[in-house]
Amino acid sequence: MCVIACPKKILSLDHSVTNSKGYHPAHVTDAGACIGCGSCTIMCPDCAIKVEVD
Amino acid sequence: MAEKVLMKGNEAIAEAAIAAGCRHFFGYPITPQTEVAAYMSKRMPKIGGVYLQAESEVASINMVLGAGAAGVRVMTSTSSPGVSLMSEGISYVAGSDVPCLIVNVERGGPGLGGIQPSQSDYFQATKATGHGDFHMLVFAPSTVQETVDLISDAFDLGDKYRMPTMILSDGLLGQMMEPVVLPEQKEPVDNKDWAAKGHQGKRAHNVVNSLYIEPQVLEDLNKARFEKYKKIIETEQRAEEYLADDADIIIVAFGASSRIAHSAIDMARKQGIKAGLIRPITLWPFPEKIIKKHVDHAKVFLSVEMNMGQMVEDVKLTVESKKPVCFFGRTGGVVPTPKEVLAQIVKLNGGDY
Amino acid sequence: MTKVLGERPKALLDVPLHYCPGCTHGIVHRLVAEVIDELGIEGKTVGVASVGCSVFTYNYFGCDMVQAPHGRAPAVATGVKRARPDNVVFTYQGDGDLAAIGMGETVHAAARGENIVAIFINNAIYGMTGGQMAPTTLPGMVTQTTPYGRDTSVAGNPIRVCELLSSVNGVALAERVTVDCVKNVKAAKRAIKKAFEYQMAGKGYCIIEVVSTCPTNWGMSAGDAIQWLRDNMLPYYPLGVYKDVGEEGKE
Repeated sequence: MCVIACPKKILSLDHSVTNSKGYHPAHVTDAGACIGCGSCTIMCPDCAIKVEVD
Repeated sequence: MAEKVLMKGNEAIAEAAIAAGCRHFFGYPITPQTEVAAYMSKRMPKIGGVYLQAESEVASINMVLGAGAAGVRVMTSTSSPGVSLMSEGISYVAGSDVPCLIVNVERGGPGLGGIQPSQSDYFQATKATGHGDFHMLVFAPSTVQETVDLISDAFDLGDKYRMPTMILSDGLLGQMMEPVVLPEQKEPVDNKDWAAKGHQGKRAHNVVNSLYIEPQVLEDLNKARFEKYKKIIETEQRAEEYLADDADIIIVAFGASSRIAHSAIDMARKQGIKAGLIRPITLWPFPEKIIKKHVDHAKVFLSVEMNMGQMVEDVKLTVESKKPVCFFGRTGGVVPTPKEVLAQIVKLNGGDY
Repeated sequence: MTKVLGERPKALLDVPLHYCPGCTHGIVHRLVAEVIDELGIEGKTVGVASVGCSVFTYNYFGCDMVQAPHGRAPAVATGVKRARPDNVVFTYQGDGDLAAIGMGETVHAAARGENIVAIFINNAIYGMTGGQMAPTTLPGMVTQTTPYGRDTSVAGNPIRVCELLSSVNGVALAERVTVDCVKNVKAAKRAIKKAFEYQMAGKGYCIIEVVSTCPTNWGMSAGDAIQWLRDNMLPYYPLGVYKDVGEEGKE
């Protein structure tokens, strides 16, 4: 859901990683382009994302 | 407080509960116990208590679950078909180890049945209340005074053991009026640490729950609960004995039928027949110890009930086939007469069993 | 000053959730917890867990919790609230729990103006038991028990709960929201917060219906489920406020 919500489209599922639950977690593909809007944190059902904004 | 008041059984139930510190009643009208709810609806608001007429017995028992889970003394009152509706809720109450009092003023069944008294919910109360392995403490009063006294005990023991308790009354007892000495008024106490009443930031959260999805955890919990039940079976059995010590014919009867049996026994004794009565006061735990005391000297046991034969099975189990166990009952709302019971005693005395 | 977004609210315990990928339960749990944190009421809140996919909410929320039988959460919540009127009491229920087996309890709690908040997760299907028809399943929708699509002449019509309850005196707030995008998630949170505030002001029964997804039982990916919700659920279950005594100036 974060992948869809990100306005900069810098999130995607990382198919090279399988987490302990058997899923491909989301990862940031271009951290430099992050605008700190927090949309991903708002859409995440698992409180799995933290965004530090300076 | 030592003054005697003439009270209707159903109303005495309400007064006794209030005296025991109960301030929360959730119920639904059903004959023959509607007076309990009506009385509560008048009394509770006057003492700062809560009376709520629920939309059904299903809702009633769930409100009882909620209030009990929040740590207060709470009760409901109903009659036989209403207990059937509460079956699921009582299972949850028992499985969540929440204390509460359920009063069943029995009527004729099954189905819509009748509105006259019966004792046909014995199995339901002691063996088949709801799904799963659990028990309720079940009390069977035989007078209005005893009803009042047992309600106080039911609340205390329910809190002590954290389990649902039941007063198994019947339409006769509910509707009759007898003089009663009411117990001392107890104020409600808020001392249940396990309750879901808001942690105030001072402790980890309390969860009042009956779902344990891991089989081993659920088995352990059931076993622990049954250890508790074992203690109760050891220490909480109650029965009254009347002329049983030298009796050849021992009647086992509870509630209204015990009063009828009592009269029949007096009549029998006048005729020289050695009859006696064991009157269970707790139906669960069944008073095996007291019955077993008399197995050696008795010739025959007679279970007198207002049903098609329910408690007789527990008498048979207790007697362990050492002596014959017979049954006499009327049902459907028909109340046996002392003469009918006497006829049974005479028959047994003649060796006809 | 570094600001951190996405901190777990205190009222949501640090326990891994068991929901399916793309399930919106997690978002709603977080919103309820955030509201509880913001209002500072965790210490006096008692939540009532229901039966469905969300049966384990007693493990997730940090406040005291009571587990209710299927459909009975409003009655259990009534018992808690009447015993402890100063506590904040909420139920968290799915469509089967609130609108099928629990419809009687729901309507009567609403009519009593019971001061509780009902968080109603409407995803038009029974998730936990494997995808059967729910009272809110749409006409034509394929589920395990409507394998040829819901035929309303046989299986009845879906129930619009907010509309139904809006006619009941005793309801203080009936609002339908969703969590398909950031804007709607924020609006849902505002609605949930309002509901809790209304309870604390003693206004009556509040229900927040959250139109939700069930990717697993809808047979879709998380992203497709969100789109399906927008295309199919929202037209039948329009978002909006169906009753709000605060706005009407009534008490």
